Amino acid sequence: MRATVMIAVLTLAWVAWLDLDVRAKFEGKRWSLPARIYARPLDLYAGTRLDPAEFERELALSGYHRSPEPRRPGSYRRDGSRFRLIAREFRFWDGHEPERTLELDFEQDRLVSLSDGSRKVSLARLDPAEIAQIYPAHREDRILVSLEEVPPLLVKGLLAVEDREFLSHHGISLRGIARATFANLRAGGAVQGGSTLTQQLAKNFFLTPERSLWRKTNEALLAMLLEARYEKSEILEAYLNEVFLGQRGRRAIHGFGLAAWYYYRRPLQELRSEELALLIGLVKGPSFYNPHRHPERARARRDTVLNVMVEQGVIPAAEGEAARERGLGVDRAGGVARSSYPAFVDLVRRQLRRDYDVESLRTEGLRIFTTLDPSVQASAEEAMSGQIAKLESARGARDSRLQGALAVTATGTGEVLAVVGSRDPDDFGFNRALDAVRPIGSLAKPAVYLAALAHPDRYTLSSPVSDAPVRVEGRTGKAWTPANYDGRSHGQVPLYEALARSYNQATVRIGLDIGVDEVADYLHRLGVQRRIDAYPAMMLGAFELSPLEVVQMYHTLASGGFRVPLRSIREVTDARGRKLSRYGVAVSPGVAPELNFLMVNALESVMREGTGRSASRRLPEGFVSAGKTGTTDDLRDSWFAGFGSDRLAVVWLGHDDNSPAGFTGATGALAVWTELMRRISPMPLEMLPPPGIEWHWVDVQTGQRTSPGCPDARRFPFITGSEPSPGRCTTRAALNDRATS
Amino acid sequence: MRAHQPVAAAARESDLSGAVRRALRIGARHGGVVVLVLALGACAGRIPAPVESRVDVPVAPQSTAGTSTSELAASASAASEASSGAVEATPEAPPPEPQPAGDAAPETESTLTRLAALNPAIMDLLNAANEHSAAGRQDEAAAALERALKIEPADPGLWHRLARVRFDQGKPDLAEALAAKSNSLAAGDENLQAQNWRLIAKVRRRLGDASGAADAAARASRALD
Repeated sequence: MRATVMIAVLTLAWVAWLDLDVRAKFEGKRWSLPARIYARPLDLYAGTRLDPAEFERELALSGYHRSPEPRRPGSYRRDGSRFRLIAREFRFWDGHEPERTLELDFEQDRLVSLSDGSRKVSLARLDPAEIAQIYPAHREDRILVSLEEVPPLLVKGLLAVEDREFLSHHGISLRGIARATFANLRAGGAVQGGSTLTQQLAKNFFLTPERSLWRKTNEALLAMLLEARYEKSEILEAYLNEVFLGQRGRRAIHGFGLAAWYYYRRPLQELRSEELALLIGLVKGPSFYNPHRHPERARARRDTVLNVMVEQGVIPAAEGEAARERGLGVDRAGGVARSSYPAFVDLVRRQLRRDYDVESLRTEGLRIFTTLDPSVQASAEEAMSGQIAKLESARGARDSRLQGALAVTATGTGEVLAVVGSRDPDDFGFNRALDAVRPIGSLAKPAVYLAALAHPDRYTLSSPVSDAPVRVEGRTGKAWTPANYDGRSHGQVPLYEALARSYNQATVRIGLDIGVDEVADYLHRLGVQRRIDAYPAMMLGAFELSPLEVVQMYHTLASGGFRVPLRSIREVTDARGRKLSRYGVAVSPGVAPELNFLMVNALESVMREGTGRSASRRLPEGFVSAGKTGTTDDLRDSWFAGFGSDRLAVVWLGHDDNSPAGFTGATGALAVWTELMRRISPMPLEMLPPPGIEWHWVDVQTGQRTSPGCPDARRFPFITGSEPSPGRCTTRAALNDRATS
Repeated sequence: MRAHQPVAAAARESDLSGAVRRALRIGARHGGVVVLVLALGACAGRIPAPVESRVDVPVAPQSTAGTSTSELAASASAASEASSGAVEATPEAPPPEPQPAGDAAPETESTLTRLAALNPAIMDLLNAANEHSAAGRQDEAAAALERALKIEPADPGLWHRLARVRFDQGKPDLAEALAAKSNSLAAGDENLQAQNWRLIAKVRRRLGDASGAADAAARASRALD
């Protein structure tokens, strides 16, 4: 008697515990969803700078399929430079892109017309490519689908194959078990399972795969509890998202939503009947019927499912017939975006970690919309690997120790478009773009010249400065005597030329005259956040920054003197697309716009006639840019930072062990930068002078104001009032000279 | 002996006003010289602001670029629809703040008449920004403007508009920096410069910087001289 009561109490307690457990699993955080990271959505409008090949690559990244007659969302047709595509619907946090047909016409590297087939479309936003995920520790992955968005065919087919009594049973189905037993006997092996969908779902709540009576009993109990507590629709929806449908490396593919992407690179809603049939068939054994490894088995299983679907009236016989004719058509690559932008994603993760805890990143299904431009990223990777190989082969190098890093931003908005952290872009290791902290050499010089030009009464672009040898007595009694790269002194030169040709002696003289503290101040105004010790060698870049920090610094110059924090994330939304955070363009004053304008003018001279001039041979005619080379002692580091009007890129080359790599900024990094610019064809630099700038002709020999046509006349921008006084030559005098000669 | 070539690129910094040059540049890029008078809508922010003449006058473009004209007119009317919401919203706004003496110039900043890109995409985004802004969705408005800036990063009108959205959102420091950014690109467009300085004056008044505000207001008047 007491034993019976005891057993009853224990049983009840056990059931109550199971009930609690099932509720916790079902209602609490049912699934951990990895955070999904997206590239920037492509804005399409007449004038978009993109060539057809790049566009097609973007389409492929977003999972669009080429088709002779596109009818379903996610398909497109290409005829040379014309495209017709059915764009998918996408809900951005700030607006909704409808499903629609888009017709696009390209001419060379531009989209010239965009319409929906009958009317012009002024602006469309393509659904963004998913570039990476942040997984929970157990590496389960899924794309949640709701019952309403699941194709009815999938549900009907699934029930026909797995659980015909689903809508009427209470968790377990004796008829189902009897039928399965009969079918298995007839076939002489296990062809049907007797478990209901509810039991299968319950099974998934256990983490261990043991098969025992105890386990079976628990499953049955759980299934009945689930049925008692929840609606059929809730159970079905949970099942659709929970069922295990494959394994990719260490990732477990759960649910039909992700399986559709994994096997077909398409959303579930876009799958045809034979494709849905394969997914339904996989429920029985995702590895046994793995279509990549066992295509015949998979195909036979699919056809069995199609037969059942016809038998049960889910699809007409003719459709079943046609579907059986088609091949498996699974995506070779194993679908689902490769995580192939390790350096960029690393940057994204670091930004995320400042604002989100690691656990919510792994489990809450956050959607992270980044600034990555896949086309620019591809160009950056190609430029880096290609040029490094070229540099090495030109020198007959045996080892491949030369390494590099590169980052590209849009100027003005500070969006990071591409990051390369290694010569091998798929390298998940050391991210040099963020972590290779190296002396920046002459890249520091703009700060010296800004500090000088900030005193327009003392220094202008045309001021004559001395490049004579200079000696700085150190506090320790040891003197510092910086030399020019070519080992020579160049006498008196106009200030802009000292920068353009990167003369060290002139730079140190100017900096000492102004004071190292002011130079350090300008480094900070440009956005350098590290502490910079104000000692003379700092003026020649004897302090260390990462390539990305250099990007931040030069971005200020490229965007009119305004500091804009670099961003790799635009928005973070929750799994349902509601905005959690947005990172907008933040602007703060850095360098006065007039002063910045003078500096950019001098940096243009670098490219036109200074240390960066070799680039012009390989850049398109008329491409104006501004930039600066940087080289450190014994050719350990090769730097280049430069920009056109809408793109800025910084390149570093060197050895990881800091041994001499043998390249100057001009012979190494500049080659990579030039190749990159050639590929992304940015807009030429076209700095509009801000208010407060005047242009004057100056004789670069005397530094006095002159007229066009006079000897050595050159036009310079000046901060109003700082122009030099007029010299002897006027246009009239010059004309007279010419007339008499 | 160095022989410097006189720089040939004199046209770059020529006497053309900044706005005309921009229009030419943009016109060239879009295949045809186009002059478009674009009205930027004002917005009814949640933050009390001096009542302005919230009249948006989207004028049909005097366009030579055939097909797109009707569309531009269509989007222009969309802009006025969007801003009619703003007109209705205005009466609820608190009475205007007392204006310091130096800031007597009439506030006309709601009606921005300037040369803008004949880029229907930008028009779309401006309209969207106006709509969002009128409905109090300032983050969405900012996002639309930032999207437009990715297309035309050197358009001072867009930066000005973004500055106003940030001001309405209660971010005065950012608004001031954005207005300054707009000004740095607005050489030759005195009207826009004046509007930027007026916005800066408003920011400084809000932050309690009376002399800074007076200075900005004076620069606004000077810009229009």
